Amino acid sequence: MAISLPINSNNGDRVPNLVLRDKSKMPITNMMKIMSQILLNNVQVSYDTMDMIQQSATKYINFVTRKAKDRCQSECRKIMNAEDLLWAIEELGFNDYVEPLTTFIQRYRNIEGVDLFTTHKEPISHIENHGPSLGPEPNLMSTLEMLHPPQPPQVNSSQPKFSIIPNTNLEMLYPNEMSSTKIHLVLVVQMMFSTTLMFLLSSIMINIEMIIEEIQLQLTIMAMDYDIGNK
Amino acid sequence: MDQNKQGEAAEGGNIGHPAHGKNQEEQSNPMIAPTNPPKKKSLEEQLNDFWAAQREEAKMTTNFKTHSLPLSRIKKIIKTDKDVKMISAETPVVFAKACEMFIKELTIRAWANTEARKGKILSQRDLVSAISQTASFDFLDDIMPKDAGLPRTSIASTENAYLNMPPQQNVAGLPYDAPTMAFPNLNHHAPN
Repeated sequence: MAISLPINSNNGDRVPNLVLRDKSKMPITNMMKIMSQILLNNVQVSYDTMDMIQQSATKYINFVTRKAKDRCQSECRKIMNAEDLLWAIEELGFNDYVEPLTTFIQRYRNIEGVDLFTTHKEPISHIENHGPSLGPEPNLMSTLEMLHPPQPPQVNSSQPKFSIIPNTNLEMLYPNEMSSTKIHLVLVVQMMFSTTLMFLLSSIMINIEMIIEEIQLQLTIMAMDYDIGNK
Repeated sequence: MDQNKQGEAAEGGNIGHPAHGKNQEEQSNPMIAPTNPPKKKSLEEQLNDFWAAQREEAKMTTNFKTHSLPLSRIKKIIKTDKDVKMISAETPVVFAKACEMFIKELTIRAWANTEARKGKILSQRDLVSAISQTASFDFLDDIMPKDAGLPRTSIASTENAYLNMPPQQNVAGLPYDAPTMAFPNLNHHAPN
């Protein structure tokens, strides 16, 4: 979804945040349906409570994901599967969840596996599958998915090149600008070089003059010593 | 709630599995006076009935095409962890089921607190109390409001760091300094 920033810069930072925040959480309508299966029809839930449950559900997924990731990394695997989730959920103290989820996964694999081999359909139609199975324990009933797809190649926009036809009398602005730019660069470089060279020469001259003065002083001292020695 | 249960039973019948008598047990909720002494026992009974129902529901589930929570959203939440590279196709499905059970358990515990204080609205205070009473919900402490006693407190969401770009630093030009050469001062002592 392309986000067009409004002209007002004050709202520029708000719109993307809202979009990102909305997409990174569980939708409230789905959670309301789930909660309505538990509560009575006349029960009301305040907005603050729904917001808190929404954050709790998101936090729960992040929490289990981190734990499951640790197990993947410890076993040097790059693909997170259902067994990792079950292990993580049990490790984190949600013991009652393991048995229903185990049954759920077994039934899911049985049914989806049958569909996979008989009707040649994708197990989940709205999930894109990328590439074959690369895990150390390949499972025919489960397909892989790249969470980080490669970025699309950016179009390299290069400046158009102009060639001057010798027979043409027309003067184009762009070549003139290029010539002018080049001449300008050459002049700047020459000026910098000349300035540096003159500066260095001046320093050398100053040093030479200082040395000459020192030599003259030494000669004077030696002459005085010679005269005193004779007396 | 009865209508919802009957709807689920009808759907089960349509798929081909006859509804068992255990579905009626799911409708049994202790609506008697909440001031009874065996309050915790009623909560435990609710949870036991809930998990028994979950196990039966897992056995009877035959429709895996529709999920209670959108899988694309779950994948985006999983994707917030940068270290997670690839996941199997069944992982979001399992997460959807686990998250559904999590929301239901949280609702049951919170509603038990609402009944205990004879309220009619499931408020944030009930939720905070339910979270603090359960050990496995300790990971939710950082999203609980600081003044847990006051109801209807707004929760400040954390700022998203995706839009914070690092500031660009310009390379400063090198100044031209004059090379300074100093000569030591000679001591001019005339020998006598």
